[in-house]
Amino acid sequence: MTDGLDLETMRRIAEGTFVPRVHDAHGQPGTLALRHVIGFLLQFYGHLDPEMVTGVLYVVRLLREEDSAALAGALSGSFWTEKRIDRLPLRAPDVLVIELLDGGILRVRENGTVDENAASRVALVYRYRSQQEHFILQGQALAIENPAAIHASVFARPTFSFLRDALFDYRDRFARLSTCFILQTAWAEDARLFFKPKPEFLIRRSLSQHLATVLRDAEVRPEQNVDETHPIDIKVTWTFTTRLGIIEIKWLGKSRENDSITTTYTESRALEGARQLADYLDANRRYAPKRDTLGYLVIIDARRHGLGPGSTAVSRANGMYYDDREITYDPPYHQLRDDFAPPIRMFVEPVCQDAA
Amino acid sequence: MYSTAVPAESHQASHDALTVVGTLEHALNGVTPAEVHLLAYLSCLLSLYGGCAAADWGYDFVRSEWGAPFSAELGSAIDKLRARGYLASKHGALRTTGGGIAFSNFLRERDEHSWRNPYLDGACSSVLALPVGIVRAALREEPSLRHANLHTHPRLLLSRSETDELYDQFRALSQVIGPTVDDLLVPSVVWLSYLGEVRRQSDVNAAAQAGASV
Repeated sequence: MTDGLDLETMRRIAEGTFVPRVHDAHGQPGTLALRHVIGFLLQFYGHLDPEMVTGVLYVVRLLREEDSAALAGALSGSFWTEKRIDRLPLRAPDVLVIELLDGGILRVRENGTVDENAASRVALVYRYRSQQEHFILQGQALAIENPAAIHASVFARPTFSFLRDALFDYRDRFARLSTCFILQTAWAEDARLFFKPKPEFLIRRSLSQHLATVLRDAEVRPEQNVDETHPIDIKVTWTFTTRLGIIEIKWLGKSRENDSITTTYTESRALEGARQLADYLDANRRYAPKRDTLGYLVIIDARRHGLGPGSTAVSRANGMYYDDREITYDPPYHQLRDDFAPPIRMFVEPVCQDAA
Repeated sequence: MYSTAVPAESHQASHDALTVVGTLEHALNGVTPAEVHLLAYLSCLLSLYGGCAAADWGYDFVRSEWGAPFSAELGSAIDKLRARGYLASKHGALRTTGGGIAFSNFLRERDEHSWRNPYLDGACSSVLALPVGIVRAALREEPSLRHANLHTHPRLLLSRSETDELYDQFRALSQVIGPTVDDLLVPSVVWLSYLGEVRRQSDVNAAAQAGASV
């Protein structure tokens, strides 16, 4: 370190992330091509869900005009040209190759082939296959690290204006099957029966990361103090507005360490969370009275039926026992207060012993 | 066709706003005013990396009550561009109109604006490589914003006394990536990623000290 600077971390980032690596391989023509490729992907993945790529997707942009013949030799298959992204295929079951030409023209091959080694010498080549994405640089595949870590592609970036929609998105796409890699690290085992002790930080970080990525113009701050005695989990403010979202997160289920159950949280914790959130909202009215505040109680429900300290597996019947068991809140703050949103329960499925 | 009687500094803000919106409107499905302020601030920071002084940028930034960078001149320029029909707003996001594109091209060719273009391009390209939310979160660790966030009221950013730490970071950045990199996208993304990692590690350390699983 140098005077508080972590040069080692800076070097690791410079050597590992795709932008400097593209520049190392191809210089400024490479990073200029990168702008075209990413700009296209951001729009294309609003049209085609990357999960619909069951074959291979290539996006290619020539680096230098004088190499156009070489690139043509590296790509094969009949093609058609298009200028509108909404007219491109909605699925990619085979090898879909999209070449980005000047003037916004797209050259599309739906059953193409790509000589990756040859093409990547004269073009920037992006490849999406089996939910992994790479830039092929001078014949070598560079994996694209996903800083958001929770979407099918770095470049598939849904956005939401409303916090509730973003929370539902997290519930449906990331919480249910723990597809967020941050959330994956909160489990004591692969079967997702028990959390590790004190998983709150990981759960909060997973949700914060998601909200920061998908909410436009929002400042997402984990663990803010409404006042000095009432910490909340996540605070969301929207620039140029008076809107304020306060999120209280509670997890239900069990945590385990070394075959001992360290914590058990039942439905009563959800009710406690509702009361805490109501208290936070009262405190917020005193300390930030001009804000248009809405409180959200998020329940990460990891309850399973019949787990003991030594459990290593769960049947489908026991694992999914709480899937549709909604929690009844008494008092129902969300019905009594206009600053308390309906609680959102996110059931997290275990890996069950027997299939559905 | 376009009046040049207006002082050049107000055209700088107009040029920046039109350039940011015009560059990103297709990729991001429009650009919000808050994003324009954020990226203009990042552009200004990149100009410091490129050896300029903060005063050269032509307008100031403050840390707003929302914790984000804000420029009154830039906000005024956006309002005027909308009033004149050069920017259109839909669902809170700005897009250039045909007139806006023509005016932007006019401004772009003038010497007092062309020097800014590499910095604006570096900043705009950064939100192609990284989600805007990630860039916004990373910039909270930028030294001037971080210091300003210790206060609750709006505070001027990049004052001379507050840029020492920033310049230290930029010297280290230049040392790591090399001084001859010809595309500002590279140092911008490496620096933003570094700021994000600093923030992440700080959170992990604090949680570990509190006994949480990390």
